[in-house]
Amino acid sequence: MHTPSTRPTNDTTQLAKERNRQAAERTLTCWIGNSLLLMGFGISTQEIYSAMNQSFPQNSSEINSQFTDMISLGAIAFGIALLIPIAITHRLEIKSLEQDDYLVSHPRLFNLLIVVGSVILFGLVALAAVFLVSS
Amino acid sequence: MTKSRSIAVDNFDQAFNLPFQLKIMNDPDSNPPPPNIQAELARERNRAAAERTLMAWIRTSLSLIGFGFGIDRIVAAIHGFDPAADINPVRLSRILGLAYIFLGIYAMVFATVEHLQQLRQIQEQGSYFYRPRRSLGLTVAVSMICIGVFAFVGILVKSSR
Repeated sequence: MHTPSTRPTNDTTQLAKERNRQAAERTLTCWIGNSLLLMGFGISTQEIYSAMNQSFPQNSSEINSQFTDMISLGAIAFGIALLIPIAITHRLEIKSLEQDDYLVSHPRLFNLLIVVGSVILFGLVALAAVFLVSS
Repeated sequence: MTKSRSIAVDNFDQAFNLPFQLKIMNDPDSNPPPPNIQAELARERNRAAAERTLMAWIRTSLSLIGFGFGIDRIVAAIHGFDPAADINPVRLSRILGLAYIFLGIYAMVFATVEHLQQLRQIQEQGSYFYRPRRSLGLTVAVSMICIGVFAFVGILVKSSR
């Protein structure tokens, strides 16, 4: 149960806290959208490919089944891996709003580098995969 | 209001024969405190922030429901090309599709409830206090992680057969 702060405060500060919380919530929904895109790509790739193979078994497939599984599992794993640190960061931000001595902390550059680096890595792997299949 | 204060007010009214409205205005207990302009502007900003949050949740819920519905229908349509095939009604794509649809509906319902609570709190007279509460975004994120792990394991088992 949250105990009310004894530190003097005013409506403007409390309203600002609520706005910060809503901004954090909107940021998290954006990341949920990104993660859904990745997971959805992984799931739909595998499911559609497997359904096509079952419905048209006489067609020879250019794409190796194992390769498709690798891509889909990789995308799902990346989607999950993206969501976990974002959810932890969101929780820490929400908790920090409840503290009396609220201070803006800036570990965000490091987090941003990790996320951007992961997306670039994923893109490079996809590029390599496309060249591998076409060769 | 104390008795001495009430007597003073009555004497004042009788002396000057004030109409009802002026009597209300001169009664210190019936006068609302003057509005703090900064707080009022902050309340308006909070109302706009709550609206933006609801719109973000509408987008997210639409994506969840759309993906869930789409993956099930597309796989069902592909299976439909082969009428002789025995299609499992409890297949992975259906389970995942239904899970995402349910998550989208859950998110939309609770986002709406939270939005209404926010508006009510903003419009209340008196002091505003930040209310710590469980984050809907965190709940949806954790649910998505669970669904993602289920999908990962499901596809792994399916591909190993």
